[in-house]
Amino acid sequence: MTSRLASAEAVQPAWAAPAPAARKPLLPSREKVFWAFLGPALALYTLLFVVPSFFGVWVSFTKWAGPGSEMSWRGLQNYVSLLGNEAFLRSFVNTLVLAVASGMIVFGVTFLGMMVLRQLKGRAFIRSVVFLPVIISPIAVGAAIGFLLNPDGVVNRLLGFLGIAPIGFLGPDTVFACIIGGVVWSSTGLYIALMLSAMDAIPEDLYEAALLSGASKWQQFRFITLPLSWDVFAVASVLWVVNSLKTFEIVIAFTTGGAVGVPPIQARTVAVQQYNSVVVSGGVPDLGAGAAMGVIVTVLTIILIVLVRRITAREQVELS
Amino acid sequence: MKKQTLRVLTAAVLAGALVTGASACGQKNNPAAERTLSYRSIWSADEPQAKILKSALEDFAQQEGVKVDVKFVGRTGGDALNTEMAAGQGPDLFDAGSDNLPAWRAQNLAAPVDDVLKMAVPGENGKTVGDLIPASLQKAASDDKGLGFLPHTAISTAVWFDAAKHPELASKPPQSWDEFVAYLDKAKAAGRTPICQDGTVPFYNVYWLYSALVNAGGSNSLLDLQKTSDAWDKPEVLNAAKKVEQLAKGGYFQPNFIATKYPAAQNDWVQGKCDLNINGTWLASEVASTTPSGAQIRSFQLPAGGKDSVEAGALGLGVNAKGKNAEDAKKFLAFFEQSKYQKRIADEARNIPARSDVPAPKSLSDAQKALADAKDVHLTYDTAAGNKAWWNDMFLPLDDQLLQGKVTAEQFVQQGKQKSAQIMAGQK
Repeated sequence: MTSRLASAEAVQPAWAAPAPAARKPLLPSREKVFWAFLGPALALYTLLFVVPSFFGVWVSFTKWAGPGSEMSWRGLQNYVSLLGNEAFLRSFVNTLVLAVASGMIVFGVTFLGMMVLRQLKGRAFIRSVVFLPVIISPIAVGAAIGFLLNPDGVVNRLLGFLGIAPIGFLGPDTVFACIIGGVVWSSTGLYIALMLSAMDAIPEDLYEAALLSGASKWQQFRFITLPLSWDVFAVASVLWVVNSLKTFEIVIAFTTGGAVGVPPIQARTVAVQQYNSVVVSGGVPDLGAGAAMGVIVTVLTIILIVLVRRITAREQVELS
Repeated sequence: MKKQTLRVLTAAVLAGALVTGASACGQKNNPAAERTLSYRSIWSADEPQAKILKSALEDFAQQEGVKVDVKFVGRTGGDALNTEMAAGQGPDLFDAGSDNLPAWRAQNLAAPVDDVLKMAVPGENGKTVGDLIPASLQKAASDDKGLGFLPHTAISTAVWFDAAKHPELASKPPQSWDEFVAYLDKAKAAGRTPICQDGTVPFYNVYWLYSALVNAGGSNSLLDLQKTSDAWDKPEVLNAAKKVEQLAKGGYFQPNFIATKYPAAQNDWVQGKCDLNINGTWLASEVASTTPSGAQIRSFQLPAGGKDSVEAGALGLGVNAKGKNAEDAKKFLAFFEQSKYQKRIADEARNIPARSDVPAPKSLSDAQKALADAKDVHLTYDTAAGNKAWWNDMFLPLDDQLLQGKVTAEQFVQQGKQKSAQIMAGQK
């Protein structure tokens, strides 16, 4: 399986740059073109992403209500205040819980889907159906949530038929569990679609051979599907980490919905907490605190991505 | 050949420049042609306020010869407006309110509009804006820098009921806290739910504590709680918290009220599933589509005793301090105070007009009268919502616990004092 890789390393392709020693006297025209092509993108990226990012880090050390207002230096005070802010700490823990707990459920359901859907007729239709929540507007979700989960909503009425007393699903102490359910519902479709695409590329004869050898569905998944779709899983995991750490709309949909206001502390994520601190409505924006939250989440994102990449690092399996 | 082409090109560019320059000179001599006025509105185009503002801007454009550029972007469409305005790219006019004036001021984006008070309102017999807008609303649109925006709508908070179902409340609303609680007990004993509460909206939940405290204590009685720890020791604070504790323990709200998602509770209230709802003066407008025929929406002030202060908030239009057409923007502010537009605020938007001489719709007449008769007024949430960390991260969550009966009034005061001190220390 590694023969192709070996040959790729042994034979230098025509487009590859020559060795550094040979390059020194005269820059090859190819390399000039390389920089000409890369330059504009690099400049734009630096201007629109790198510079604002560093500016954001700078703002996190200041007290600032936004352009036009006076900016004053606070040093590490924004970070110190955040570490003593019960609401922020809760939002941080909630964000981690969302990333880890929801992630496990999302990928658990995804793997289950891969096992079940592989041989199922009409799986393209099922794939479309499970993908549907990904494209539904959070506003529509918000309206539906009230209809379904209010104390006199559809779910509680159904529970009432079973003799179960109404449950306050959307109360401050229970709404976060509902949000986790909402996140799983709204995002699993994307990961199922990604992983099923990877699974579709696996030759059918491997499964036929496994079937002849008496392999169970779990064994087929464990020894064929998972190893051969591992690269996509690694990418999907990183995507999940990035997406889950900025969970925002679904929290608003489950809590304040159409009303102006802030969700209860028990339901906030860092993205929600950050939004609350910087928007004009309901108070003077505190961009310093918002930027400090952004820096903390960026660091957390980097740590989690490195962890995920390490956990998912495997020798590449290639079909020859 | 090349030289000839170059000459032709140069001549063409020069001729173009001359023509452009000449036309620009022509424009300078005709000021009406270059006068423009832009407005970015957080109302959605289908809302009554948007329709009223649009027609007023069209009238203004026709009368003044000003080209008007108006965009209705809805609530969330205004999130980045402050950044745009700070960059000098924003509109001349923007929507402002008592609650967000501190934010506009912090970024120096709301131009002072005190001079508008001296402008005559067209067609009003020489009366100036200052003559027509009551002092309480001028205060609601002002801070220590002066008038920050010009109100077109008055807002306030009250306890709402359907007079068709509860005529006793219309003829004799509760005059004291004890009378209020007696009414709640009576309603409960009759098998009714006394209060509907959209408990997932913390700033609706806080209306009880805020009204109990500030209606009695007047301006700064809530705001002081975020400024000095000692303010928490005042007996009025514990007294107000005890009133909320009484509501929590009394079981006056609908079951699982804290898990009721807006706007279910206010819709239930207007459909008669409970007697009362505490809310802003926009309530009648918000529940209009679900209001049964024959309903007579009325209100009374939460009887907290003491000063009997009334909330005076305002919605209006601000002038962008970095806008390019401040003069026309200010002219429009005065223009929009004409009684014909103010009547439409009452009739179509079902809100209280800023002008006290223009009657509010029947459902808001009690609130308008309370505002007009008030000996003492305070601003929305006593401006305490301006400090986001204190308000959103500490006060609202703690109030939610009090309203659910999870903390006692004493615990509320003790925890509030301790947490406020912590936040104040962090903000120094």
